[in-house]
Amino acid sequence: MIEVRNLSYQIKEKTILENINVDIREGDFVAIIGPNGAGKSTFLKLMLGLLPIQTGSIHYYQQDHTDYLKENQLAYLPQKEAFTPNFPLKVIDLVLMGRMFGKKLFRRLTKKDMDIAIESLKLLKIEQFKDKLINNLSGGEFQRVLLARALATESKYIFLDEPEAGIDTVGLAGFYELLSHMNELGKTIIAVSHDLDKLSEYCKIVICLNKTLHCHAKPDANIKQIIHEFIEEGK
Amino acid sequence: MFSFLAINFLMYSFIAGILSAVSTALLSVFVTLKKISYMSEALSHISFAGIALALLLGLSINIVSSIFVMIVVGVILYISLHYNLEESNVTMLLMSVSMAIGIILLSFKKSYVADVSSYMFGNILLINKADLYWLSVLIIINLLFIMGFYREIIYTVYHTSIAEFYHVPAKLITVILLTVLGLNIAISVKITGIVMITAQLILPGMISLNLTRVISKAIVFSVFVSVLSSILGFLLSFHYNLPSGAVIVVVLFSFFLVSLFLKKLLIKEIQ
Repeated sequence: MIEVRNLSYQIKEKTILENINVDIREGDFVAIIGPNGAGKSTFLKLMLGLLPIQTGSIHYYQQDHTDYLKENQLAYLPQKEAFTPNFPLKVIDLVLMGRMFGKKLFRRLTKKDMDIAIESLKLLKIEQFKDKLINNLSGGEFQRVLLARALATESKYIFLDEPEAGIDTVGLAGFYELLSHMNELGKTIIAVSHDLDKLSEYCKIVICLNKTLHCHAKPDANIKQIIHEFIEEGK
Repeated sequence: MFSFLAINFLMYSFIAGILSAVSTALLSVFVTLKKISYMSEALSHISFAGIALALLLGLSINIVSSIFVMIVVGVILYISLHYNLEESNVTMLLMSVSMAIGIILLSFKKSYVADVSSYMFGNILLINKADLYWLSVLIIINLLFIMGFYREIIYTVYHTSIAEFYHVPAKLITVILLTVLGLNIAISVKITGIVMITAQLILPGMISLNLTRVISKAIVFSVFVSVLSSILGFLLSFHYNLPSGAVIVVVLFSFFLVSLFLKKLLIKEIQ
């Protein structure tokens, strides 16, 4: 359970987010929708602890989010994970990055870590990529590997920032289906996106954001119409 | 062929050349992947001020220059973090200032001109037995760093902020990497010279990454090619009476060209 209370955020006197109040329940599949510059990514980064909170609070299970994050690893797929071209990293090693949490200095990864990483790859049906170099993957394949790393953390929450970037339309439907499957397995999914039409077929809750919270509802036809109008207005 | 080893100081410099090739090559793959070749270039110039200070005060060059370089690494990191400035700009700024300070300090010494060129281009006559111990300790430090933090270093080099999100101590690793790099440069600079040590820090990594995409293998190969270049370079320079540092760089560059050619062949084979 994530409770966001009176959350506001400013950059140099410009208001990015204003007085956001929302609860995200365990097992939800949340799509955060809004026009460009609506503060979607900022909202995500605040929840992830990647930006410091200025006003308001975020609690995970009644625990202040900074304390929670010290003891727990969240899973996060950034908008863009740009790496040096030809960086010689194998898929399995990138997935194992998700197992670094709680490792003291000089403490090695164990067989259990390796098993969890392999299991994550299997779940996403990309086990065969294990020893491939990340450089040789397509955009969609790379996103799946990042999702495998997210699973390897064993976090209850998976945050995604515009996962549609870098995947073609066919690949995207498959990717959303995977997310849906992860959700069925008990993961709480929180995805920021531009692409409501596709995502709304899979998500359970839509949060509409444009500085303030505009709506928070199930994605039925009625709501979709309202959201479309809202996004058009935003443009 | 190896008759020169009978002469003590030549033997020392020959061994020192090999040891320095090993220590710099151990870091070379990471320097190449993290794209901090400008850092090695800058730190070698920064060490010049340390050397000048040691010469003026009549103290150990290795100690003074190591401490000086480490302090400057600290200053670079502090300024770029706390004043939100681009790290590369701060580094280049401090490089110019250090060179300026070094030249001012050396102008107080009478033998100014000879000293500058010795340190700019390396001078085997400057090497003594103590340097061999220093270089050996340095190799051990490098090995401990790489073996102790192998995965952490790779993740930090891959993507610092993502690594941090996944609880890799990326900032600490960066600080240690730069400090170890600074130490290597401060100690090795006498042998290869300020101008050419960057080649020794970049080329072995570039050569080995042309030939293998496995980081651990690349590190081993990088050491191999660096030592081979050092031995070949030394023999050639002795035989034709040429400056050793410069010859080693040219030999390394020849290996680089060969590796480019082989890389093309390898890619064709895969296709």
